[in-house]
Amino acid sequence: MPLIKIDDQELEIAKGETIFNAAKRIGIEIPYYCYHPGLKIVASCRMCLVDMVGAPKPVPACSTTVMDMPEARKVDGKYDAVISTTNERVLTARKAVLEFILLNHPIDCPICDKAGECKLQDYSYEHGNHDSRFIETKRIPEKKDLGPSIFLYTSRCIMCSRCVRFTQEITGTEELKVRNRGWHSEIDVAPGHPLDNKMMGNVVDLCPVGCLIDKHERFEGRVWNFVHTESVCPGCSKGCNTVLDTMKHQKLNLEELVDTVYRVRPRENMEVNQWWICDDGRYLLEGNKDRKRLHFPQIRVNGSMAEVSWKASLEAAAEKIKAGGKVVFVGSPYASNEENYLLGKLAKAVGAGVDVSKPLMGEMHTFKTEMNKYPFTIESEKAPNFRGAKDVLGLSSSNEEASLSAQTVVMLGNDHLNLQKKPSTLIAIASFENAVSKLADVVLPAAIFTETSGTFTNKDGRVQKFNKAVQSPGEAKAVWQILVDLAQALGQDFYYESVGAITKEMTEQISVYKTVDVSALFAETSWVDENIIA
Amino acid sequence: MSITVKNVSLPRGKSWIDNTYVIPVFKGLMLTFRHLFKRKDVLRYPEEKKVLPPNYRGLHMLTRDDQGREKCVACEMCSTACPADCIRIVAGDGGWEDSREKHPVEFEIDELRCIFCGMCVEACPEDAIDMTDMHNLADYTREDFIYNKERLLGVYDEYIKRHPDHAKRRDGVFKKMMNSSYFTVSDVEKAKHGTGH
Ligand code: SF4
Ligand code: SF4
Ligand code: SF4
Ligand code: SF4
Ligand code: FES
Repeated sequence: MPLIKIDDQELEIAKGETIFNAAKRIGIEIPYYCYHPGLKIVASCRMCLVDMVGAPKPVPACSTTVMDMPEARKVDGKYDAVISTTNERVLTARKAVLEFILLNHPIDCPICDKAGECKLQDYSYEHGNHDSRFIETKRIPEKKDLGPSIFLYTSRCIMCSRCVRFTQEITGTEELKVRNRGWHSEIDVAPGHPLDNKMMGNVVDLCPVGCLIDKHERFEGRVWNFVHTESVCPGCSKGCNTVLDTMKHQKLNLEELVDTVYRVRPRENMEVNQWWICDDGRYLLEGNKDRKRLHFPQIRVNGSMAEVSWKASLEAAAEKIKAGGKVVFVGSPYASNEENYLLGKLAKAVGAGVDVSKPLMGEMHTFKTEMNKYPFTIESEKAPNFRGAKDVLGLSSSNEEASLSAQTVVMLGNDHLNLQKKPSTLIAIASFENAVSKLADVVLPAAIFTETSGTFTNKDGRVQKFNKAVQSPGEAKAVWQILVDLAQALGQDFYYESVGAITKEMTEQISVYKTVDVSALFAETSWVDENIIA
Repeated sequence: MSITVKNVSLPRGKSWIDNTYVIPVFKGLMLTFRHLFKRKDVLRYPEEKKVLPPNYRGLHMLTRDDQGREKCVACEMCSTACPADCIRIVAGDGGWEDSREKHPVEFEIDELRCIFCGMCVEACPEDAIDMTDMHNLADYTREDFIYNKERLLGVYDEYIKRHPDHAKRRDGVFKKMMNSSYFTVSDVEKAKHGTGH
């Protein structure tokens, strides 16, 4: 194994490992634009130049590997390469590269949504010149509408080609191309072939500058105001790891905080989603905007629904459950393990049956190309937790039709259930107005996954935690809180301090979850940061 | 600690005449009377008003460009810089075709919470927010002190009537900056011509 020295640190480097990765391993940061761990190396931006003893000019760290040198050519008698990332030559090279990149850059940071997490801003500040020597006129290419959700602010492009490589290597759809050459090169799509695939949102995260902008998020907020929360996508049973960026809007006069999820970003997890998420998951919350949220508990009085207090609604629900006849508690593939577990526990305590409703089935989509080491699959099961719900409820499959014929049904939220015939008594714990809540006798408004914490089990049995990012609207409560309250209304002695306590109990009770490390799941997962992954 | 008692007597004049206070009162009145003929050190506000320096930090205004549109691009630099957290901006989309795509649909400053530090003015990359010499704000409710975009633009319209040479006044400020040791000449040049490369 070659022995190298980077700055003052000695290390052994594997065959084929780049200087960039080696430096990263020992905590030395080298600035970069075109390099991305998930894409092929093109070494075109030259931002990562480092100085190597013996090399005639600085070399790009992202593509340079080191091999064993013959004894006679070793530096200082033992190193196969001696690299500096901070000497005068490197600093000058960085300055020069940034100067070239900035020649035609509009520097419209005030209206650029990337400002604050832009690599061009960061590196210019850290390594660049603070004055421009360019006195000619800047080239200002037209901005373009690339497709249903992406805008291209052409003049901001630094030609790193990450986006182009993404559509070539990851999605294989090849919509994006570099048009023209040299000074005139720009990113473009072919006429009549817009950027339109189920993973296109990723190019916005990929773009190191503000050139590719998501139409859904344009001008909605400034990134430094965001709070980031680790979450898991509920879009399908793949369970992609995500980050929710939320923002608090303060109304000056009311001192009222309204927080909203502003965007969803992928979170790197090599075992599940690598660096990406699909657009179904990314824009999932956008779709919720048009749907009617349930804000207050309701009970049916003389055929029509009336908003009542929590106490009244819980009492009404308890009365109906106690009224006799066959009672079935139906869990949900959209609810967390904890919520389903609690539902099962409550059902057992009151001697009722359990079941789980069916998830929505859709199309399975795999992005496969020759260059893609990890083909990305969007699963056909469009619910995050069918496997987990079955695990914790001790079921092997859904028996929906049979359970809906019971006398009394307590139903955890499932927006896709097409309920034809109403059971004689129906109690719905739901977040949105749906087929079930419309027919229900008692409606208990519940939080959605962004408003509470819990765990989902993905199709491979990986238990992953999502975290509370925002407050629930109106009087809606987390499902586990509703179930605890309902249990108490039913005379059961349920008490949990937090979701974590349920998770702990669940992992002790459910045999397949015995190995889940609860303390690791409930580590701190919300933060405000300076460095956002690119 | 022990408590000690100290008897204090009123200071008394030397003679009984002093103790009647008649003469001291007249002495005092003389002093007041003499001041009637002296140079006055105060302004007779509100009849007389002080001419405030051009960089006085009073009520904010949102300036307009040569087409009468607000210059602000809703970049939120001012609200980020504001130590009192009293600016609220909601950005809007002016349309893909517009040369000024991004602009504020809501822009509010809570003038009661504001500490008139001027950081917002300094932070603004567009010269869109500025401070006037208006300092006599009065209103009936707290809500009335939350100036919205229209009011802040109105302040500009009013201010520009009184100071049609607003831009030049700014130049005056720049000249002062140039003479002070805090700014270099190139700082001032840059500030004049808009920042950037
Ligand atoms: S649009 Fe962004 S990602 Fe694509 S080449 Fe330009 S800078 Fe790179
Ligand atoms: S693949 Fe599935 S889990 Fe991943 S982002 Fe898309 S919908 Fe969400
Ligand atoms: S003057 Fe200071 S406190 Fe007032 S709005 Fe501007 S930055 Fe905020
Ligand atoms: S800093 Fe200037 S341009 Fe930016 S939001 Fe404030 S007033 Fe508008
Ligand atoms: S990151 Fe190495 S050349 Fe672009």
